[in-house]
Amino acid sequence: MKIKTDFVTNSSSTSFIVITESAKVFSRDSFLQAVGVDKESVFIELFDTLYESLESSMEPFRDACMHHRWNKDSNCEKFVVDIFGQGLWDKILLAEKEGKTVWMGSLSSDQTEIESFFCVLPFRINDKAFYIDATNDGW
Amino acid sequence: MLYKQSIDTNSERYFFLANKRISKKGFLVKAKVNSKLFAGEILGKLYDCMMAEAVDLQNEYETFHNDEYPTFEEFLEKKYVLRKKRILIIKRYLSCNRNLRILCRPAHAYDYAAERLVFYDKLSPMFIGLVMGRRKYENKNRFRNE
Repeated sequence: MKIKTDFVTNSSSTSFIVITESAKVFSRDSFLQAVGVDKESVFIELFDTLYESLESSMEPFRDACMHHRWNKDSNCEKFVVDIFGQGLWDKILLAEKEGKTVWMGSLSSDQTEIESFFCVLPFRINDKAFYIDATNDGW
Repeated sequence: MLYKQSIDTNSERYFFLANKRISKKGFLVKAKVNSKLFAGEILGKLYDCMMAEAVDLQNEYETFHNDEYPTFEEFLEKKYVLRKKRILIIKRYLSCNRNLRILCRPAHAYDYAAERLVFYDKLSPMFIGLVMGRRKYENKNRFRNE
């Protein structure tokens, strides 16, 4: 038997879904405008880092969902309904029908303090150009 | 100005200055975020995290302890175990701006991830600077261990 005597740490990642009007619409400028931060704000880095964390992990939804380690049944509908709810699944189906692009990604508590903060914070951002559902976040 | 003080092996507390004329609404305005959108919601939450359980020490002294300790300085030194050097710095700040107050807040009083961001991250000087009403922010020595 091994006994750990030092700090015991726990880390995790949480998933999010982004729906965009088109594949190119999720830009830094549109994101900063949607969240309501002035580019002169002393806290611009907070939202810049969130944008980079989201954008760098976004993958086309169907692929990301099928290969997600939590999706043991390879069933996207069950997976989304289980972790986000029926409402988001309906929204995804409607978005796909309307030709919008759906993405999936994850935030990790192992990265920066900023990403770690957003990793455990459930949030939604609803803008004309995109919709972000990160309500899976939170422990 | 932000000091972190270890009380014992398991507990800590923070001392920081805040300008009583800067409300949460004023903080959001100075932060240049729209209070009705996501950025305002997040920074409002982080402001609440800073102020959660923060005690105005001057107010505490005048209300409860001025019989016990003849001066505010002695109160800070004996009740809060602050070093004389720190007390002098605090006193200097308070004498320069009558709207400043010295707050003490226990660590782990609120959302842990938010607290890390406000008191440990490189953004910490921005939070402290804004609640103090500063126009420029300290970039180094963001907090000193007491």
